[in-house]
Parts: sequence; structure tokens; C-alpha cells
Amino acid sequence: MLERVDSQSFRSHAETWMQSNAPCGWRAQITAATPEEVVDFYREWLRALHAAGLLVPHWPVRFGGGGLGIAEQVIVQQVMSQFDAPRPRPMIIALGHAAATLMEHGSAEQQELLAGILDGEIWCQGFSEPQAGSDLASLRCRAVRAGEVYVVDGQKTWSSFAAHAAYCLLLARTDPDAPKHRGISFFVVDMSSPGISVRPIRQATGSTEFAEVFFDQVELPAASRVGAEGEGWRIARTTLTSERVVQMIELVEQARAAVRRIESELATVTAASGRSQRATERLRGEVTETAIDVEVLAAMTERVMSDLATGGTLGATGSVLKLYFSELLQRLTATATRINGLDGLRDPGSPADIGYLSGSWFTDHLRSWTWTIAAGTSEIQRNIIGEQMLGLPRS
Amino acid sequence: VALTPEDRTDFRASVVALLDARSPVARSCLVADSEPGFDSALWEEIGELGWPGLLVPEELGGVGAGMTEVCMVSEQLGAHLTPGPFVPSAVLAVGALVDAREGALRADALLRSAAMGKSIGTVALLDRMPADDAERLHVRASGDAWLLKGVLREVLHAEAAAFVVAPVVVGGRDALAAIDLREVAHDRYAEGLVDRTRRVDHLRFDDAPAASDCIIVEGDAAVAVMERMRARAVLALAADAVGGARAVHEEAVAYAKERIQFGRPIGSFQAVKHKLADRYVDVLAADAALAQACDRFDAGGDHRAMVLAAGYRALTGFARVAGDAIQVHGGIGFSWEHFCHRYFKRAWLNRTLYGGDERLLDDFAEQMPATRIPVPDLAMRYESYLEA
Repeated sequence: MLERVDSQSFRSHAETWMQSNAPCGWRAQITAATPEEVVDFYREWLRALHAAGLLVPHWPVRFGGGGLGIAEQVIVQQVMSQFDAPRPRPMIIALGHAAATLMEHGSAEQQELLAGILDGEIWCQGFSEPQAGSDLASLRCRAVRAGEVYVVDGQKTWSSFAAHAAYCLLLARTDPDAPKHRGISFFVVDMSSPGISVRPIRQATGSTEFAEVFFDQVELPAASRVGAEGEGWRIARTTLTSERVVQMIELVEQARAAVRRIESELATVTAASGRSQRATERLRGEVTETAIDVEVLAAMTERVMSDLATGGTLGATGSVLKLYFSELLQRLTATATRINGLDGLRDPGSPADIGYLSGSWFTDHLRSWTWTIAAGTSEIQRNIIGEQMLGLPRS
Repeated sequence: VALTPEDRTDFRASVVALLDARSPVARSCLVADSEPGFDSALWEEIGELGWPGLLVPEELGGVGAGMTEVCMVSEQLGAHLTPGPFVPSAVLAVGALVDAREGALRADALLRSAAMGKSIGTVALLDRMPADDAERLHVRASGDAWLLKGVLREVLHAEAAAFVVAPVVVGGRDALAAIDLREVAHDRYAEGLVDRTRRVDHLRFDDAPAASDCIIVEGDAAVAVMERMRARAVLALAADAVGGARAVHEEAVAYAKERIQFGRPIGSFQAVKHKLADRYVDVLAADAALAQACDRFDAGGDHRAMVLAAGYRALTGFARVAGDAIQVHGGIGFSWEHFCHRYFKRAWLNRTLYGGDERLLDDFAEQMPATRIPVPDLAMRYESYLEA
């Protein structure tokens, strides 16, 4: 397929800018930094990207974006991979799910918060609870209407970057008598509200990206509810899945970059380690299969997008993409770890969360379980595919 | 390619309707188990409908369509387990003749006949790394005639074919020949393979005289045509695999809904449900990759990586899907009467022909560093995704 003419000049702009502005040595810098320094680094980088028109070229102009198409977002992601530029990881919820929710379901007042997102504010999600993981709709966190406010009590967990977040997307139960999916409402919570406390969770990789968030008699203005009462589940689900398709563009480009990196590491490490020809061939075969899987994922993503463009509905296709990507990522990082031998297992010291090109393949491999667990485990995705797409009876 | 999306939808529906009526799976199995291994009445009907002429330019009486349309047919033939020479004749032989047309009058005559279904063609594919030069088919001049000596391997439905389009060596150069199998003497060795829905033969020529115009293209141009033949073969087999996989998966899903054990449909057990979900992802992945590979091939752009990736996913996926369909059906799925094994065998022939999926991996690995990823034409706004 041919690129459109203006896409080509957009690519030139992105390449020229990235050439002189993409940071060097940022992985080492981040690994040695404190969490606050990491957040500051990403915030500055995000602002620089935005000033160059390369942060959200696909957002509508009225929300501060470039008003361009999805193709330009693809180009940005390709150019970032080309120059090994960092993605603003801690702002991923803000730029993705939060922004999509505000644009699609937010009030005019709520949409003003998009400006803060483009200034590098971090948003977190308050969805999972200790007793509501895969069975998310059984969540217990309560939001009780009292005049012009809701009073929130409850506990959320596995909330990424909550310790640094300015806002939280919260799912809370507003009607305990309604069927469990219908009694939930969606809120935007200012994290500086009195009664909120955050306790970091040290996760398997050693980093503390996730946190528990406690709500103790937190008063939210009624205007902080997104959409109607009882619509929270639907809003969270639909926006999450459609945003996931767009996010997949970035993930595909990162996966392509990872494959290229693994290929070159296979050549370098093999030359240095005296690995046998047979072992090298086996590993090369795995890399080839992974590279094929990545191209197929790209085709799947593109198909979903063009189906949507021609009036199709997403349905459970988001589950297909997520399942496919998660398991692909797990294989890819396992292969990369094995290629690097003991070096792949070296303790990175401070494994700040920098995505799956952190430089520590083992950390990336371990972290891939956040993909197979978070936002619906792979087992839940298979249930969704089996029940919603194939019509198999519920378990 | 002048077909609109609506034309394509209509065309697909007409293919499904015809094969549902004329080639239901039970009939496909009967036909496959008897001689000549395909239904010549059905083949004639397909010829009258113009399917063999899909790839032929309109000025020669064809449809002027592309691999997208051809693969729609191939997909449905796979789904119905339909035996017959559609892929070797209508896709590979016709495709090669179309690609080789420049300046080859003979190609036009064969093309007219094959495109109308009046004659059946077949092909041999270029073996990139011949183990032994003697294994290739050599052509040398002798007086007015050409003499053919050597072997063509993996020729589908050669017994029914009037001609074979094959890579040959002429004076040390690669060339492509269209050999009249009714005129040119040869020995045919039929493989007795587990999949009876396609017949695979090997042909041996021993200084057989052939018409002097049998060479239709030579040199680099011939190699280019052969590479496109190979891409078409991968796409057509992948489409057959996608159709077969989807059909046998649908059967397994239907069975999982109705088969009761322990008082519940077995499809309610997660072990079964998840297996079916995983295999459905295989079907969707292969289908999406194939569609994109066909698009790129038809658009004339860089299609190599996507064709190989689609082929690999589809051919290996079909074997997995068919294997798990047997598993989900349990004992009944292992009986001769049940059609599961027929899909399984078709899947394994697909993944083995022409070097098989191992060769796809090799070829993909070879082109990997060069892969320049094209930007999809996504002239679409972010908001429209959020609204969907």
C-alpha cells in the first residue's frame, strides 16, 4: 500500500526531529535513577514530544492533538523505534484509556483535564480490588450519593504509578441492589483529595510500579462522575477495548524493534560465547517464528481497524488481540533471555519500569506476566472468545 | 482489479452456494476416494462460471481479478474438501501464463483454453536448491525440435492435465516451459498419499521431443515469473488452509455445544473451551494475514514477508486446528466415517507441498533483516475508533 503524500512529509519531520532530540543512554540513566527522577525524565520527554507535534498527532485538534489520522500515529511509533526513543511509560494510562474515556464520555468540564494529560500528568486506574480480580464486576468499593457529593470507601490494588498520579479512573459501586454489572459507576478522582492514601506494592521484578489505593470517606463532587450512574462497567469496557486496538499500533512497532534487537544480539552473543552451531540454529528458528507472529499481529491489528472503519463492531476482537500479543510477548522475551545466557539473568539493580526493551531481558520476560494477568487474564480472554465469539456455554 | 467490496461479497456468496450444493463434504469424500479423483462435471460447471479465468485479463476473456478473489475460491474449496485441479490449473498455471505473456504467443493460446476451463493445466515449482542438477528438467535443441530430459516433482493432478508449466534449464539458463502433456512423452509416477482430495504426481522425461515454442519465457524474466508462481502457491494453499481450518473448527464448536458428558455440554468445560478459543485465534490470525498478503501481492508492492508469514501461520494453523478438532470430537472424531481425519490429512499435505512450512521459515529468515515495514493506509480518525 502506498503512503499518502502528507504522511511522507510527516515522517520526514518526525525523523529530523528525532535525529537531534531522541535521548541517548536513557536506559542506563533510568536504571540508576530514583522513581521521582524517572517520572521527571518521562514528563520532560513527553512535553518535548508534544511541542514537536509527535505525542498525539491522531488526537482531534479541539483536544490539543494534531488532527491527523491513525497513519501518522503509526509513523511516530515507527520513527521512535528507529531511533530507540523511550515511550512515556508512566503516562500510558493518561494518554490512552483516560484520554479516550474523557473524549468519548466526559463532560466539557472533564475534557478540560486533557490539557493536563498533554502536560505530562500521570493518571492511574482504580479498578482491581483484593477480592475482585478476574471477577472485576464483583468489586465492593462503594460510592454513596450524599447531596452534591459521592462518598467513597474502599480499597483498590494493582494500580500502576498510583504514587505519582494526579488523577485516578475509579470504578465504584453506586447501587448495591442492582445486578453486579449494572450497579457500577465511573469516576475521575483527584488524587489530592483528603482521605486517599497510597501504599506501594513491591512486585516480582523488584520495582514498585504498582500500588494499593485506599479510599476513606473520600468526598467526590457529583460532577466527577463520567456518564450516567450504573453505566460505569460499560464505559470502562468499551473504551478499554477500543483504546487497546489503537495502543496495539505502538506495541506492534515495539515488538518489531525487539525482534530486530534480538536478531543482532543473537549474532553478537553467539560470536562471543562459543555457542554451538546447533543451539544457534534452534534459537534463530525461534526468532524467525516470533518475527512471523509479529507481522501477523500487525495484519490482525490493521484488519480490526479497517473493519471498524467500515462500520464493524469490535466485539470480543480486543480479547483476541490482547491474548495473541501477551503470549507472543512472553515467547519473545523468553527467547531473548536464553540468547543472552547468564547476561540475560543479570540483576539490573533498580529495575525501573521502562517497558519491555529495558535492557534486562529476564526482567522483561518476568514482566510479561503483567500482560497475561492484568486487564483480564489470558484465561478470562479465552472465556470471552469462547463464549462471546463461539457461543459456547458458560462454565 | 475492478471488483468492488460488494462484488466480492456477492462473488463469495456464489462460490459458497455452488459448493454447498455440488460439493458437500460427504460428496467430496466419495469423489476423492474414486477415480479420477475429482468431479469433472463440477469442474465443467466451474469453467462455465468463469472461475478458471479469474486471473486472466479482460481483453483475453477473463475477469481480470487478483489473488484476493482466487483465494476466496480456494478457501471455499478447502472448507468443502473439494477435490480437483483449481489451484494447479486456475491459480498456478494460469497465473504463470498471465505473468509470462509478454511476447509469448503460445501462452495466449493456452491461456484462452485454460481460462475457459476447456483444458486443465498444472505446474511444477522452481526448486531453489536442486540437490542434483540431474533432478532438473533440461531442454536441448536437436534439429528442429527440443528434447526434454529430467524430472518434475510434485505436479498436482498431472493425469488430468493437458499441459504443465515448469521451470527448465536451457543451455545453463533458467527458463519456463509450457509442455503439452498429450504430445510429449513422459512417465508419470503417482504418489499414493493420505490426502486423496488432491493427486500428486512426479513426471520423468527421457529425451522427449517437444514443440519448439514450448519455452515461454527465459532468463531473469523467467525467474521473476517463478517467484510469483511460488508466492501464488503459498497464498492459494494458505487460503485452502484457512477455509479448511474454519470449517473443521466450526464443526468442533458445534459438537462441543451438543455433546453432553457429566451432565453438561463439553464446551462448558474450560479445558475444551480454551482449546477451541486458541484454535479460533489461529483461524483469525491466518485469515487476517492472508487478506493482507493478497492485498499486497495484488497491489504489486513488496509482498514477500507478508506472503511467507501468512503462509506459515495458515499452514501450521490448519494442522493444529484439525488435530484439536479430532481431540474435541473424541472417539467419534477418530473414526473413518467422520470427516475430521480428512481435514487433518488435507492440512498435512498443504503444509508439506512445495518445500512445506520449513521452507517458508527459511525464506522468511532470509529476508528478515531487509524487511522495511510499510505504513498501512489508515486514513482514519482516532475518534471513530473510540465510537465503534
